[in-house]
Amino acid sequence: MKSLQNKNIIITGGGEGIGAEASKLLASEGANIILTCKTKEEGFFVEKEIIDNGGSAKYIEHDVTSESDWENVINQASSEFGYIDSIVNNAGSFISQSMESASLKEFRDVINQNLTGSFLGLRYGTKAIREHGNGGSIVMISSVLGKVGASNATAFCAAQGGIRLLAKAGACELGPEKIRVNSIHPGLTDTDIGKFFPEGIEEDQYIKSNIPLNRKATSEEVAKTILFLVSEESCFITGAELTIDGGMSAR
Amino acid sequence: MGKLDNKVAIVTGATSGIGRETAILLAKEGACVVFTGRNKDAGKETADMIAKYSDKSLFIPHEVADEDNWIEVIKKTKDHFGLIDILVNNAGQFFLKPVLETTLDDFNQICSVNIDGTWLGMKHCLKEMKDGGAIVNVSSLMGQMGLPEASGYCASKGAVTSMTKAAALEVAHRNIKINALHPGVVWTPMVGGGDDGNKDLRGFFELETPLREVGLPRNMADAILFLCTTEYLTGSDLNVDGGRLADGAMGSNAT
Repeated sequence: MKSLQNKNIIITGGGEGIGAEASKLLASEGANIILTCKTKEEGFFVEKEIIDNGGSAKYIEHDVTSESDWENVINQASSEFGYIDSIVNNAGSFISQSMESASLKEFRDVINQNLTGSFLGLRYGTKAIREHGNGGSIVMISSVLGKVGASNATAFCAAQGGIRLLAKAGACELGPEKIRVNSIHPGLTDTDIGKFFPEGIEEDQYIKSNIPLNRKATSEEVAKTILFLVSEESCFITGAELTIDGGMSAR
Repeated sequence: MGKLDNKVAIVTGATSGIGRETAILLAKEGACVVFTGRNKDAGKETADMIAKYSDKSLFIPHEVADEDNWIEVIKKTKDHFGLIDILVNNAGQFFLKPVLETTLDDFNQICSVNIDGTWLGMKHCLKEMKDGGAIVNVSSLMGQMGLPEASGYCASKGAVTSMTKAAALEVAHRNIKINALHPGVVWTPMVGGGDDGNKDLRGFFELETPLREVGLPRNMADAILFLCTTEYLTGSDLNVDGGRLADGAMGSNAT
């Protein structure tokens, strides 16, 4: 039997990058995937790919900063699949900007997209998982920049650091109900969000001098970590942070 | 097909608890497992358990603080199965004693097993390890936070946590991954648990843990297997503690 047979899992930001890879990987392990994102074309594309490969998936349009959108996602997912086992809060946005040049609005936008979206995911996800009382797993995709700082990333670091402790606080609060909450901290990955380098620095040079394993992560490698955290193999893991950064933050 | 077919693994401290469970799981996943420990009778028991799933295992009596002993373990492993893919530095020691009552001998003793043992394992294994291999050092939640009457244990596990990162950086160019596992309370004889453990003690530990459970060796073995197979994690820490580190106030729920 596949490891996630009969599991119903919501993945936000499922239209591209890590979210898309995770949707495909978890579906291949037997899970019913509810994948959400703002861009319909991307969402439907991943949905179709999963179904064409014999998996089960449903795309729902979703702005993670909107409470009414979250209500809609949970309602639709529940009526389609009956219950929710796991939520992967993956949606996020990145902006490289010096502190002086960022406006308060831009700062708040980054906090909203990343931290507030994850908070709503935790809140609505918990509500949905509680319905059946069997516990579940909530995975927060943060970043290595939720653990260490970087120039031109004040808002992003603040948001990702917030997600890191949001997960831990959630773990403490929800542990007795067997709802596990963990965070994943990827370093540089082969996704769009990873295509950022400080001005004047070449990607190859950056990788060589900053990443001990001397390469970026693939989205699939991060997806495998998500698979581990939603599976039974991690049933005693909660409040943990999994840093998958090729050794970047070990020094 | 297993996740570790044709891989060669060494697991220390495999005569009981986490090490035994890990040796069995790695063997189930297809690895050739060399498992070591001090107690020969218990080693035989582990061997019998592994034999149900695999005929590719070898027990070697082993004192991890002894360098010559490590050299011998590596040589025998190489002779038997070839170059090494995986090392699980699990052997460790634990005791509770107030600082004022802990002698320097007590302190040196726990450091020699937990620190020297882990360091010697990495040092000698890395010489005979394939590029792309993995090392998992079993540290502890107490390698990240304090526990009264555990100065020696905390000091030694803190060292394991740090040297894991240092070593990971050194061998990253060989694509060898080195990570630390941090078990919380695992219900083994080491903490007064196991099959004959005290129920009240178990209840106390459960109440102190957000998940309201104690860990089992199998939970640790599953996490070790994950760390043995991951391709981009290195120099990292994986806590398998039911939320105890996250709940930094240590049992703030237990009211």
